[in-house]
Amino acid sequence: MLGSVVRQAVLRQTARFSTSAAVAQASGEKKETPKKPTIWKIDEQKRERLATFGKYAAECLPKFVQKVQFAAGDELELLIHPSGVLPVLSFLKGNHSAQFTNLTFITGMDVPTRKNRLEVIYSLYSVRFNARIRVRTYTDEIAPIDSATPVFKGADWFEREVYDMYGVWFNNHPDLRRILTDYGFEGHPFRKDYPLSGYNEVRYDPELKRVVYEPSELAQEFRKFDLNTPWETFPAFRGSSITSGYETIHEAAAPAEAPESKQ
Amino acid sequence: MSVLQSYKEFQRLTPKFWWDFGLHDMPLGVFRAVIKKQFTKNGHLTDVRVIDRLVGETHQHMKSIRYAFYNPDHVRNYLFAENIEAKPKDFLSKFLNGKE
Repeated sequence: MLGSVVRQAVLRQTARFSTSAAVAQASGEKKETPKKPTIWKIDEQKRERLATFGKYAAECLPKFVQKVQFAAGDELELLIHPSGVLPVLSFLKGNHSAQFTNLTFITGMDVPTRKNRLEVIYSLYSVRFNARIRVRTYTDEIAPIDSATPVFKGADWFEREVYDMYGVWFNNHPDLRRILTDYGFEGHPFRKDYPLSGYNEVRYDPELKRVVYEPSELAQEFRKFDLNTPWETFPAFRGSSITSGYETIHEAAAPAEAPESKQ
Repeated sequence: MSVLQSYKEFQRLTPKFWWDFGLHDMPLGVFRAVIKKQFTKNGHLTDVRVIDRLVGETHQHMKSIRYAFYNPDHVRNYLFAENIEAKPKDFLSKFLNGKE
């Protein structure tokens, strides 16, 4: 499916090499042309192929894929049900027309207003077709997700990180403990309701002769958090919704008691 | 059921735990009771998902103890927390503590 993308990419590559060589020759006498702003150019053909692949994946896995969408123009995203992590990932890894064999990262997201407030995001890369895809699923504070380690060995530490920062529990994970924070740590720092000063502070206690944890206490003048920037961050997008950058490609027909689709 | 199993497993681990982490300042029996209290304090839970999560965390704790990922300081802070005074409840002691 994406095979011709590669061929084109190779062609373009060779074309670019020849032109750059020509430029290198000519640069001696010519002045440089004024720089154009470096904006990511969306390759329409590749986007088309990705969209087709997204629809194909949704047809192959109708039970799990709830929505296929493009973020930021050409970044394909599959929104899946949490029970489908392993099937979807192994499909994407094993399908010959996809070959997303490289797990770029796993991360989490916390949106406290949702019913399933935590989101886990898997980003995959296909070396064969030079394509990327993101798989997003959701959970709440308690509900476990299947660990991706049977499919991707490298998911181990990423999942430990997500567990540490967001408190998502992964079933069948070989060694799910904290990775970034200390062992006695309390709470999950990337959750939105985690206080900026943390729950505990650490000091050496000369009486007990060891390091002790205490609930953190701040003096009044340090408790005034004014975290808003004085500037407006994206004035051009003042009126637009936060999801307006997404373009839906395919949406599963909602079955009778399916969990709410996000957003 | 899984709670009982993990409790038994933990109690089997306890002598090694007690010895390895230098907790000899209390007799083993007392320490066993402390471990038991960690389990019984969650006795009111009924939600199966929460219980499963706690059992999973307990297994992870046991692993960390077995492989000595935890230091004695972590254990003491977690189990005893002697340095933290109980929060004042009534008005007068709050007043005397100088807090609000």
